[in-house]
Order: sequence, then structure tokens, then C-alpha cells
Amino acid sequence: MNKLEQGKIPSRQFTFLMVSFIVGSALIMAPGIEAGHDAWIAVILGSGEGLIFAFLYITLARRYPSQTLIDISNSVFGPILGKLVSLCYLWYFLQLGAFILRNFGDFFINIIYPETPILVVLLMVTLLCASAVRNGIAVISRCSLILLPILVLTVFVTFTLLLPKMDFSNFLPFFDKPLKEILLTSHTISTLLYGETVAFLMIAAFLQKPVQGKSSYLSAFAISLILFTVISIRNIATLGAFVAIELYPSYEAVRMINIAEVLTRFEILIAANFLLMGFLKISVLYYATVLGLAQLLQLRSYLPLILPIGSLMISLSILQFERTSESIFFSTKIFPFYSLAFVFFLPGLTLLVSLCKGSSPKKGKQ
Amino acid sequence: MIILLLLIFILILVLEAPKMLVKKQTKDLLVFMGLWSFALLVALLQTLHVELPNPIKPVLELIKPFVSK
Repeated sequence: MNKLEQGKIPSRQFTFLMVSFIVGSALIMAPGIEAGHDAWIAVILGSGEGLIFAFLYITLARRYPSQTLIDISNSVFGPILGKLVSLCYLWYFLQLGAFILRNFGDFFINIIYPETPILVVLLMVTLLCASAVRNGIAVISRCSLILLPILVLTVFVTFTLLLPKMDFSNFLPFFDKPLKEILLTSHTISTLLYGETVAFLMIAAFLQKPVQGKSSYLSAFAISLILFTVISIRNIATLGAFVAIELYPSYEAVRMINIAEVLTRFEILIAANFLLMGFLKISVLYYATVLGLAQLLQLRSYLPLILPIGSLMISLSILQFERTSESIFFSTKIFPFYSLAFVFFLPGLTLLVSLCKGSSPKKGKQ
Repeated sequence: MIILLLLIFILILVLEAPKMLVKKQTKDLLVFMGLWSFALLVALLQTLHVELPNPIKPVLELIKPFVSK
């Protein structure tokens, strides 16, 4: 029924892709940075809230197997209102893509290539992602199969090498920050990381076995929670109170690795990982936008839309923020509430309406 | 810079449009041309340093009073 995309994803690749997607930007932006040394508490609380999103998406995906978000909105809200809702989602995907792209560019400009204009980085990354999107979702998810183990390996190697530098008294006292602030941070984590997986409702339609969607989603959730906790424990134990003022805590923490003056300068591994995960994340959002638009307008192929949308994404990412501090402020203070509309209210409304309407039209298919 | 931009956009046009013309996919072509010209317009205005409306400004103004302490 989906003429636009012929590829199918095995459920393990789906899990891998989702873990890369969730961990991707968090690897560098360090979740829960405002909570200081209580960040690990915020991570765990935030995952609790993320579980609500997860069950929302899983229920939606199970009610409408092998339908994308666009199809779901169409069949729930009818042709006109459905198109409007789909447009909202597409705007969200495009904006988020531009946003991640900007984070990505900012990181490379701030840390590695200070003299290069940001446009060069953005252009390179977008071209790379465009070629991935052109090859379809099967190729993107297969990439994650190779790239994610590199990330996991890096996280555990850096954790082990940093053990001599760690000071676990940095965690004391627990709940030092007021509870309100911790809760605010955990909300940021849940919307910024788990909420973004709403994009996977576009991709879950191409699962080889839709029945396994739930288990692969939940295992992705668990794996990314473990990775997050390890990352935030590593950063807090290494940096202590400084973790709250660093722009890129993971990078700064890994910079401290110094084993007998021989094993040093590991921070480039973090940059390389960010490159790989950022590529996957932008590709997924890019793909969701392009495929969604093609479905919305009932085109015969999504390929012609790739390059114009990419150009728009670059324009948007330059237009949105003038400097890095603005984007950090937006991502930690404004975006958690703004994106709630797209990651919680719209899918929630969809589910509510579809429950009121009774049995789903495609129930007999499984 | 502007010439480079125009070159890139013409390259996109040359890469994509003929395929659709041959297959007579009028609707696809229309959508593509619409997006292409919109993207070109935005990029061109940005290159010329024209101040464009920032889509996140209204969101920022709406939510800021609630979160700033």
C-alpha cells in the first residue's frame, strides 16, 4: 500500500536506529545539564515521563499497522483536518531537523573548525544525508547497524579510561537542587529525547513484522536509558560541579583522559561519534519530512523533493538562531514546552479520536 | 556567492526536472517547482542579507514569560 517506499526494516535494525536517534544528540549536548550533579536523577525521572510517550506511540502504531503518521491522521481526522494535522507534524520534523543540523554545525564551528563558515559544515552534512535519504529507509537503518556499536564501544572505553579521574563524592549531596528544577530538567530530557521518537511513527510502517514493533521500541528505550545513565555518571563523576557550566560536557570530560601521557586526546572520538549519530538523526528527520510531504500530496515518488527540502532545512537552520547561546536557551527552556504540542497533544488527540471512533479499519489485516 | 547559489539550484533543476517531464508526472513536477522556487527565494534573500521573519520568534515570545524566573 505504500508505493513510495519499498524497503522493509527488520526489527533489530529498527531498535538500533532508534537507539542511535535517541542517544545521538544527547551524546554531545549532555542531557540534564542544568541539574548539575543531580543530572542522573533527572535522566531517570525523564525516562519515566518518556515511557508515557512511548506507550502513546506504541498504541497508535499497533492500532494502525503498516500505516505512516500521515495515513493515520488521514483516516482518523478525515481528509481535510487530517491534512492540516499532517502539515503540523511535517513542520515539526523539518524544524527539528534544522535544529539538530544547527547544533551539529555549532559544535564543529565552536570546537574543531573555528575559522570555517558554518554554511560549509551544514552543506556537507545535508548532502550526505540527502544521499542517505535518496537510498531509502532500509539503507539508513542498515547504517545504524554498523554505527551504533562504535558509539557503545566509545562510551564504555571512555568510561573505563576515566575511572582513575572519577570522584564519586561529586554526586553528594543528592537532591541538592530544588525539586522543581530537577523536574523541569527531566521534562526537558523526556521531550527532547524520547518525544522526538514521534518521527518513528513514519518509519514503523515499514517494519518487516509490525507485531514486533512494541518489543523493539521498548528495548531501544531500555538500551538508550542505560547509555544515558552511563554517560551522565561519567560526566558528573569526572567534572563535578563544572558539568553545569560546560557547553559540551561529554567532550570536556573525555578530554581529561590521560593514561601515563600516552593515551590522551580521546575527545575527538566524541566528535566522531557525534558526526555518525547526528548523520543518522538528521537523515531520519529529513526522510520523515520528505516522505510525509510526498504522501500528503500523493506524489508518485519522493525523490524530487529531497534537494529542495534540504535547501530549506539549511536556510531554516541558519535563520532560526543567531548564535549558539540562543539555540541552547531555546533547546533547554522553550523547546520542551513547544514540542509538547507535537509529541504529546497531537498524537494523544489522534489516539483519543480513534478510540472514540471504535475499531480501527485495518484491524483484520494482522 | 549569488552565482554559486544560482548554479547549485540550476543543477538541482537539471538533475530532477527532466525525469518528471519524460514521465509526464505533471503533479510531481508542479510540487517540485513550487518547492524549488520557494527554497531558491529563501536562500537568495538570505544571501542578500534581507531580514526574513524568524519562525521561532512568536513561539519564543509566547513561552518566555512562563519559564523565565
